[in-house]
Amino acid sequence: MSTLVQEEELVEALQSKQMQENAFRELVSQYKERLYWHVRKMVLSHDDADDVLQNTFIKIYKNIASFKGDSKLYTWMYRIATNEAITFLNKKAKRKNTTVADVKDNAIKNLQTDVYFEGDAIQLKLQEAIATLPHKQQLVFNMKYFEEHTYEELSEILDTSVGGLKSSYHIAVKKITAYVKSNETF
Amino acid sequence: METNKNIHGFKTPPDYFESIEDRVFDSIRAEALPKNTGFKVPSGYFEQLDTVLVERVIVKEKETKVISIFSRYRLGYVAAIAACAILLFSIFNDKQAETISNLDVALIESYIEEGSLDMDTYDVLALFDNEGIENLSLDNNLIDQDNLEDYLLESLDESAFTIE
Repeated sequence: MSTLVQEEELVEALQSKQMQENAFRELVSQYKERLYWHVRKMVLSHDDADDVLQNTFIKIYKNIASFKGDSKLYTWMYRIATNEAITFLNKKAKRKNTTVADVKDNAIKNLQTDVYFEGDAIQLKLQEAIATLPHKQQLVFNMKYFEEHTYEELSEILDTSVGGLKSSYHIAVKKITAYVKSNETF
Repeated sequence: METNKNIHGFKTPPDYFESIEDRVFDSIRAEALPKNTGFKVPSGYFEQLDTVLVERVIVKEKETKVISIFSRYRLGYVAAIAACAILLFSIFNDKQAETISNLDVALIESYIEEGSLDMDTYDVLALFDNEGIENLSLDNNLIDQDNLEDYLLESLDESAFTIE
């Protein structure tokens, strides 16, 4: 993770016409993987994650001039990525005339034949369990369990109190372990 | 039990002891779960991503700026002129002409919902400069307050507010 000074310099460069292009390359190279995996866990398929990631960087590039540094660049980008993924899922659901939950159920079913999913039965079960959670708990669980964000970072990204996040995570872990246990077939 | 005999001066975050059981149990429970998702990416995906993204974002942005014959602003002017033409036609034509009020609202809604009007908050904002946004005031009589409230309750996507 970049230090505060590096981040400030990067933002300054991104907002300057002369240095913007190089700064953007640097930004992409620094954050592409973290943002990709964040989005991938939300939309599940690689192609969808790729679309959302590209849209995320387009939004970042177009809106960097209005970034005032009230939050960290890193959390600001995570918020854009999260919103892009949510918007993507909503649009997909509307297009298919169904709900986001159905879209996710379908995506889970497709994982079994997805060439870009190499998980075993328990990893598949874990994805199923995550999909049963309410949207906010899914986000908190993924970001805390797999991405190991601190509660303070999560609080800034998701605009929720640390206490609220702790209880969301606690409930999520409880539900997931219960789901995995009750569906143990391996 | 902490005694007051020798005070060490340390303190804990609020609710630390109240929530410690939950956190310990979360860790124990989570140990049974896999640490990886099982997702993978095509080979070379991240290596090529820099080029793909920079191409798509920067080059496209530059092209848009150079080829601005039919930019959104101009599109707005053209749309305004077209709207005036329809309005004039409807006023001066004796026959009952198609006006905006005759258009099927559901059709317009489905057109937007199907994504044919591919604009989001950022795109709409890009049509205004700062002054324009400040000067933008909505006529209160334009939208019925009850309808507005219903619409917000049904359609408001609170995630839109999480962006700075």
